[in-house]
Amino acid sequence: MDPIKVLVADDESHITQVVSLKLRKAGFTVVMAADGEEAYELAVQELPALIITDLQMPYLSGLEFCERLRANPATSSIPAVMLTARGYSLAQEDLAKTNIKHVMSKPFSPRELLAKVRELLGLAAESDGPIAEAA
Amino acid sequence: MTQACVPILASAMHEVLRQRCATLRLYLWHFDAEGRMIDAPPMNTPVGTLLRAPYFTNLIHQVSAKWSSSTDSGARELFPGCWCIVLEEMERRRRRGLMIAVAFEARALDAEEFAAACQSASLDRLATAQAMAKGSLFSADCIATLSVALRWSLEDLNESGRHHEALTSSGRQLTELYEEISLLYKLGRSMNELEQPTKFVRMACHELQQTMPYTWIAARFRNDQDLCRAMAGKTIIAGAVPDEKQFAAQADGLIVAHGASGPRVLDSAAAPLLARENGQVVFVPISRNGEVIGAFLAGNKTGPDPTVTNMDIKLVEAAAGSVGTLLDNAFLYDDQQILFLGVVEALTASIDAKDPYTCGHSERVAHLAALLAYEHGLEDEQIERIRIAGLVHDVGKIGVPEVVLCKAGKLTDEEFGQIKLHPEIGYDILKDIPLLSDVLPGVLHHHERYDGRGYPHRLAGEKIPLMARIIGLCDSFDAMSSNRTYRAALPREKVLDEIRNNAGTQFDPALAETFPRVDLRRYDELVAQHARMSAEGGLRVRRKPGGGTIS
Repeated sequence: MDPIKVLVADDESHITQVVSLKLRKAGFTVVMAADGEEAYELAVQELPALIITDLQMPYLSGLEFCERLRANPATSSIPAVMLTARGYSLAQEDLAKTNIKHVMSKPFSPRELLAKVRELLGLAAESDGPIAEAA
Repeated sequence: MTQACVPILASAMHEVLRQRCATLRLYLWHFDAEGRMIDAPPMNTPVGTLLRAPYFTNLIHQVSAKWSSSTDSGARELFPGCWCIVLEEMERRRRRGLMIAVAFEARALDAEEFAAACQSASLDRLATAQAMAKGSLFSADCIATLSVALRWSLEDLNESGRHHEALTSSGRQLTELYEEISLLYKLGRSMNELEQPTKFVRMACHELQQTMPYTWIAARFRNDQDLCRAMAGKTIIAGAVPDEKQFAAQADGLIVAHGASGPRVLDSAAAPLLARENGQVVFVPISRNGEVIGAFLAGNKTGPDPTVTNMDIKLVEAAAGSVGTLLDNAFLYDDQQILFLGVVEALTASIDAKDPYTCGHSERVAHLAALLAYEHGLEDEQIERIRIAGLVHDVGKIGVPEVVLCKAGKLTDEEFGQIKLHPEIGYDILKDIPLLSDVLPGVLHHHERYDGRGYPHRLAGEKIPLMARIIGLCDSFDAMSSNRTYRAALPREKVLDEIRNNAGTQFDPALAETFPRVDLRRYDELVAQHARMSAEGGLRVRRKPGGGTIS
């Protein structure tokens, strides 16, 4: 089976690096974008199984990017996870216009993000997860 | 955030490219995205003078304006034999400038534009052509190759710039994370400072303010004694708040308005006295047992991006959570201390109740022992344990028959034997109470003598625990200073003489030497107070640890 492709979009390179490192180690293929415009171009071109995007990006915000994805039949069903850094949350009516399935606020745990990605893609939980408590 | 370092990097990159072009004998112009010239070849050579003269400068300007809107880069001919290698300068997939490197073929020297350029620069055409022929000319093939190599060079420089930026951004992020981890670690490590919650809150505010770029960080507690106890109505501020006088009232208003709805970011309309215009205030309630007892507030973020981030809120939340838990524990600890001291006082009262002649003895010995321990240079914590040991040192007398304890005449050997059991009985009574385990040596050994002739274990010298030596001396001082069934109290001077005379036999000589430094004023007040109580029929009223009285 081909590895599953995930698009990671964030203008802060340390975030894309951290997220893609975690995803690649878990067997995913990662494509990275540094702004909303590039993210949209890559999404259309690569048709990833899932998108992880920052909210505040140059040229096209994460929300605008996801709205465009939703409007394009080729990308409308791709689920997205939104990362937010600002001290306020997204309005429900904004999320309704997109296919954003989950919002995570920075700083987030890469481990939890990976678990969420697996969950959204209907994959089994990682076997090397936290050590089970002894009975 | 990442934008700030780009111009520096771009200029460094341009400088590298300019030097490389100079080495290759190419002449480099640099234009911004609007076509304005940023840099041009130096004028320190005849060719430089030629290129910077108005004629050539105009030519370059014209083509740069034309090319800046085109996406087609490569080598283009400016006039016969004069080639421009056009390099796009990109940032975040947008063109931020154009660089043009000029190279000449030999045939350029025959072009009329070359003649015009020489004239414009007031240079002799022949002499300039001769100078250029000595190494400043290339073949057409060579120029094509140079064009490709220069583009590669630029791509590599761009790539290295991106890596540098990523590294700088990661490094900066790592530095911030280290600070944040260190803050959380400090909060966690200080969670056991239950006796000084104010100190903990002050530390939390100070550390937050050191870690986060905010002008001020403050904690405000509701003025509710039941909920906040020692913290009630307190405001702790790190940094400079905008209006210190109004601060508490404003913060209280916010706690009432927003406390129940969790952390939030308030703008200057919601917190007019706290947030500067267009500024923001982070507001995080502090809760204890589900009740809001106060809030952390952080205001007026500084730096290039003054917008509050989730990280800021999470850090303040961590501090608020720690403070809530710490206060919970501190209050439980307080309750436990009050209960513990209450039980100890009750024990003491029950001993004294058995023998009205020793009314208040335990309290006086505890008081003296604490003072002597202080004069002896012990730490606060040890002093407190010695005070408690003093309170309970005679608890074993509960197990001595009252007829013996209160006998007016001389005791028989057997009766004295019964009295001598009280340290061990006391030890047995208290030995299973964990909170009193460290006062047991004081109870068991307070009748040992320095010369080893005491009881119960006939320990001598330093083998007698210091706590027991201190209590033993104070016990004797109080006994000699009190009326007994068989004798009246000795005068103060006589008592002090006795202590001096028995230094090294009954008493630890070092303690005996220190004892006269003990301030006995409060002791004398206690004696008078206990005498009144005794006359009123016994010691039923005792002081509560908090300062009030309970009957």
